[in-house]
Amino acid sequence: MWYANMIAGVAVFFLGVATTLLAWRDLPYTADFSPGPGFLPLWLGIGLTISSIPIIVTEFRNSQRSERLFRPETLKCVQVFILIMAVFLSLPILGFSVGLALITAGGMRLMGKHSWASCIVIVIVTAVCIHYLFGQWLGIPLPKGIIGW
Amino acid sequence: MDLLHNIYTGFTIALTAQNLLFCAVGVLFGQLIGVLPGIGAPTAIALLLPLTFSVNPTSAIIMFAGIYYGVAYGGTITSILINVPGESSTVMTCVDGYAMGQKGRAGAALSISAIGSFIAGTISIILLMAFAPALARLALRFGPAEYFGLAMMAFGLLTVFGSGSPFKIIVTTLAGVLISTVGMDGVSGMPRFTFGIPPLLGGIDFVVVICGIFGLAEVFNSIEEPEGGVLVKDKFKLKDVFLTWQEWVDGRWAIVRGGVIGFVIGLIPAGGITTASFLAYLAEKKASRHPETFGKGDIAGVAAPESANNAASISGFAPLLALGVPGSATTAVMLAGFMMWGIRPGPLLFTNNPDLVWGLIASMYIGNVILLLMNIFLIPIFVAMLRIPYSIMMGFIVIFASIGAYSVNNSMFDVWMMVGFGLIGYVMKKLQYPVVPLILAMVLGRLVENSLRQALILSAGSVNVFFTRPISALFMLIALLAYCSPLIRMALRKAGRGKVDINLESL
Repeated sequence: MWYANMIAGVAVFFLGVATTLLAWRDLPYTADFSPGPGFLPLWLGIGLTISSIPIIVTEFRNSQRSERLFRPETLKCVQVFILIMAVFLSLPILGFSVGLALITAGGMRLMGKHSWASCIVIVIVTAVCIHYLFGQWLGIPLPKGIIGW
Repeated sequence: MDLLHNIYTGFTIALTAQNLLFCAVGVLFGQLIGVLPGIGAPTAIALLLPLTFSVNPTSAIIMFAGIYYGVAYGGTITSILINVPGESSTVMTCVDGYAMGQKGRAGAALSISAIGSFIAGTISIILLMAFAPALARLALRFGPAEYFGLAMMAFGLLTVFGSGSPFKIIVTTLAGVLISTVGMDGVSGMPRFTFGIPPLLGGIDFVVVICGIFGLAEVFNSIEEPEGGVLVKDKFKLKDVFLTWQEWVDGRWAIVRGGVIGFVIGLIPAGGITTASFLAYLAEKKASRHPETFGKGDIAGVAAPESANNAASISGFAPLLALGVPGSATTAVMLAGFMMWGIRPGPLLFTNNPDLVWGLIASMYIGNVILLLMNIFLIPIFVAMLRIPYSIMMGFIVIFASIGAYSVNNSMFDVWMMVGFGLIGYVMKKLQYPVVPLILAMVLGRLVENSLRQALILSAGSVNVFFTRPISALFMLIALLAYCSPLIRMALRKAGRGKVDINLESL
């Protein structure tokens, strides 16, 4: 956890520096009779840089460095994340309705002890609900896949 | 007479079939959200927001308000029955509520929560009706300097009421404002931080960020830290929820005190319902003749925080409606909703959209009555909801978040951005960077920049304008004190004062 906090503090520091430099380089600080588009971003960048320093210093002084960032359950998070990414990448083929419905089944298999039969039922019911509720009733133009849903 | 006329107008609007339906759906949904783990009021509203594009704004706002105060009711059930707060605002209810459940009085604890929430909610609505228009009249005198000061005060108060490192709060606040600057500058039309990516020219939509940070990130966090608990009572009969006379006597003044504390805290930008429930519990313990019974199942320890969180959730609408400044993540999401429907909350809302304002306020009476009845007669159904496994719910949260993000611009780019913000939200939660300041700052970012630029134009570039106008100077002074509050707290701690004595052992 200590390393993660340290990295986050340093990341905020660099975000602040990058914001300051980009605002300074690309955006005018003043405009006609008023502050320009770079005025606020510049000060936000400076603010982020300054605020990150106490965070880094506090972490540097922190003697408790044993707490771990990842737990055994983190693996489940990674699996669910991969599932979501895989489904999103294949949405042009699967379509929104079927693709998102597959996430429910995938989640049920990864997270619980649900049978394949109940997963299939959930996928079908969810896909139909998404298609008719969001696609038809609410009129959201959901991207369609190869089966036309 | 004006007030009576407004109330009458409000009820004629709130009692239409459509608005009654939206109110009932909202409070029912809020109650369910409160019961179910891993999803809170801002998430629920954010996920539903894009689906209400085609709905009448008054009906949609009535529904969202119902979700907000419905959640405050629903979170109690898990606090009392399984010692797991459904919402952060019901953390204090766990202390005495669960202890009451272990003594066989879970029904009474649920009952005093519902009755307390109803009475305090009603007190808060009455005070809101009197207070909000007065606040709006005062706000008519606000110029850009005052609005900038107000936003600074709201940001500053986040460091007072927020938990954790004040520097992390400041960082997330600044990051929120920074996100709001992405896209075309409103005055010059110059692109800022778009890196040549055309979809970023329109800026980063608030709904996309919310769906990621509150939807997807919460899924990951809930998987990693599952909320568990053992039901202290799983079957309820109607007679279980009746209070004894002594219980009512012990809890009645706690309801009134909690209601007043909740109302006042809700009015403060960034005050929030969680702070209200904490303060009400502490105040009740101080006021009690038997403080030693707190933490061991004292009914006043349930009544006070429950009354306070409901009262605060209602009075939190005053700064939103009258000033256009949200006081919590949920009202920040609602502000985004107002903007989506082309309505600008603030002092002119009361004159330009009286139907919406008074319809909303009147609907709160109706919503509270529905919730009271639901919480007395439908408890067994909500207890049954506790058995829904998270493995099923998780998929539906992802679906709503994905469709919510997609529907903003009908673009997959937004869905990928939602995934990015989901990861950011997950890391923030793990490293204890608070997300509420980020959301509030993002919503208020445009107001901050516009009012800052306008004020500096009017003052020919002099920052004295923020300190020479009395109201603005007051806001800036409060903001300054708020930012110095960590130092003040540190000094008090060193002097041996300011120690908070809360019995959290039973949590």
